[in-house]
Amino acid sequence: MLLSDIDIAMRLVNPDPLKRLVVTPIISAKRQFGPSSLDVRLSTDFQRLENMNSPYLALGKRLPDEERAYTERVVLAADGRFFLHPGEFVLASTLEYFRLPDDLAGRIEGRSSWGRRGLLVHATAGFVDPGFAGVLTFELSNAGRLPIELTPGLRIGQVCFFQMSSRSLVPYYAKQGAKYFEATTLEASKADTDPEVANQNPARRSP
Amino acid sequence: MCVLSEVIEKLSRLDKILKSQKVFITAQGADEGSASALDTLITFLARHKGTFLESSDLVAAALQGVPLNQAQEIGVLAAIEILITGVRKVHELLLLLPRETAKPQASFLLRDCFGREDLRASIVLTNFLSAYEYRFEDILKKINVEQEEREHLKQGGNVLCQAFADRENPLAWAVLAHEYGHCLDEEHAISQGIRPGDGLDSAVVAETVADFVAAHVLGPASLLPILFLEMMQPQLKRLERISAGHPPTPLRVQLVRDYLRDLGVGTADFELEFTAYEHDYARKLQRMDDGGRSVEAAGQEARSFLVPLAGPISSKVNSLGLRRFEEQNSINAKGLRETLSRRQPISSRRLRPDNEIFGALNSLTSGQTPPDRAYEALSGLDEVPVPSSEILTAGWIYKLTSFEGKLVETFPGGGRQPNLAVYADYVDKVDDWLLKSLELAAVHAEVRRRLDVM
Repeated sequence: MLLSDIDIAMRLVNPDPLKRLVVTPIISAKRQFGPSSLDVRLSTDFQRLENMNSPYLALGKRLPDEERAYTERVVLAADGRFFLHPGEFVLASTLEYFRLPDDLAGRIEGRSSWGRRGLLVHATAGFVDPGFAGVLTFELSNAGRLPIELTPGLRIGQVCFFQMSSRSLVPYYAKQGAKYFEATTLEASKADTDPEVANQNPARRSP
Repeated sequence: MCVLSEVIEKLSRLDKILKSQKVFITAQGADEGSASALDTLITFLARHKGTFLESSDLVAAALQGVPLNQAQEIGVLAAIEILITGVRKVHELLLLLPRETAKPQASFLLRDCFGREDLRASIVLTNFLSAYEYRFEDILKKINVEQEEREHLKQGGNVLCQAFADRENPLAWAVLAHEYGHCLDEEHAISQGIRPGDGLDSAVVAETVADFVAAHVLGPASLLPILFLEMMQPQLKRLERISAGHPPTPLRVQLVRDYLRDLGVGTADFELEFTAYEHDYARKLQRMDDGGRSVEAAGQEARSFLVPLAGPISSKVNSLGLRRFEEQNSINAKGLRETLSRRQPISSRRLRPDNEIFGALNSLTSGQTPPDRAYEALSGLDEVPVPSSEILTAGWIYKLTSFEGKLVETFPGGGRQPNLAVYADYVDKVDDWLLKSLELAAVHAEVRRRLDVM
């Protein structure tokens, strides 16, 4: 069941800690609430993928540890600007910090006004698990033909919430191998920690 | 306990810096020499850590309140001192490695505290464990830059230097407010206008001005990084008489506390730390060759000169029109500490209690409430950004009420291995919450500014 604006609002101040949804900061509820969603803003942190230092992304590469080699981190001032060029893919994150209760799931989507400018806010991973806490990651790309100017605080996305049929048996915070729990800033891929990747046959491992 | 916490914290920060440097150097394909310098530092630090951990059972016993005999107590202190030596030396030698820039949140903090968009000061990292400040122009003079060229370079402003180890440690950035106090002192010629009296260097007055400026904008938390760092010093400096530099720290503490009291700001939240500092100071005095008489004499001399100057200094600092830390900020900070303990950023707060907002929302009926009324109820959810001084104060209160438990968890004793990763995780997490909070507060304020313009 998709939560309405009033349901989302009441979850944000619900006195029952098991039902409480945290999204902070809400800067302007009037502007951020949609009929069934809450707009979210862009943070100051961006991560561009570098394609000069490596021929390809090998399965076993420890991107988190070597993110300085394969990515460029850009941190803006609160009034700074970032230009997303056509075809470019960068990671960014929501300004808002989330904590979902065990009975709510979420989904991050773009906003129509920005979609019309060619801005895509996620490539594939828009789902937010029950029990998740942290900032949400934007997988930004520019499908248009002109660079898009971005600044921290822009409302480029929206999150909708779903009431689940029952509380999750193993919420995200309790899940083994939950990689991005309580992240306060964007984090590069930790796919290398998946056992299927980490334990691949050494003979078939990428050079 | 405070000393142990400080050194374990610094150790975890150094471990992280060295690991990050290793990745950086490997990624950049640096030459053998660079990698070898780094490996040498890693090995050096590991050796000190290993020696310290040989006494971990005694450390655990001390943490759990088990009475130790005199030899055991000396053993624990010696083990901690070995670790302190390793940490200090390695930190000094970070000079040999590539440098990173300071975190942008450090500038957010200063801009917010001092209410200035243009700080006219840069923040850079240094291999000293404490912070300091210098004027770009003074350096130009020292390195003999020609007068004509100096004209083109004189806009350099001031440079604030922050310890490498504190790059991601907002709690330590309170010292930056002190260093920025020097910038304001120079800009407004405060200490220059106060006659120091015979035998007292004007630099000592300048330090007091900077202390008061930091306390004015940040409250009692401005003192804490100084105390923690000093507790980590193995011994007190021998002072024959006061000269250029900082007044003796106990005097600084007294002057700042008196200054805050006059502003109506209490220091009760940090009494335990002030007491811990006094004990540590007394212990170090006793260990000096002359029983600490030289230091005490210098302290008395400084007191007799500086105490009468405190009034004129505070008047001048108060007249700068800076945002003042008030008792209400301390009260708010305690509320934010509770939010922090729920593992959330603490950049903002709602103006109305949640139960009141819940009640207002609960009274609305979907489909029958006029939009204006719905928006009015929803606007109760709006949050306002909190001052950075509250974020830092809340962070300090959180740290001071939680580090002891984490140390016990790190050193479980009873034959179980110590796990330094537990403390490192704790340090990382507190840093993360506070860095995020400072970032959020800065963006929040900027967005509100844009909305207000509309």
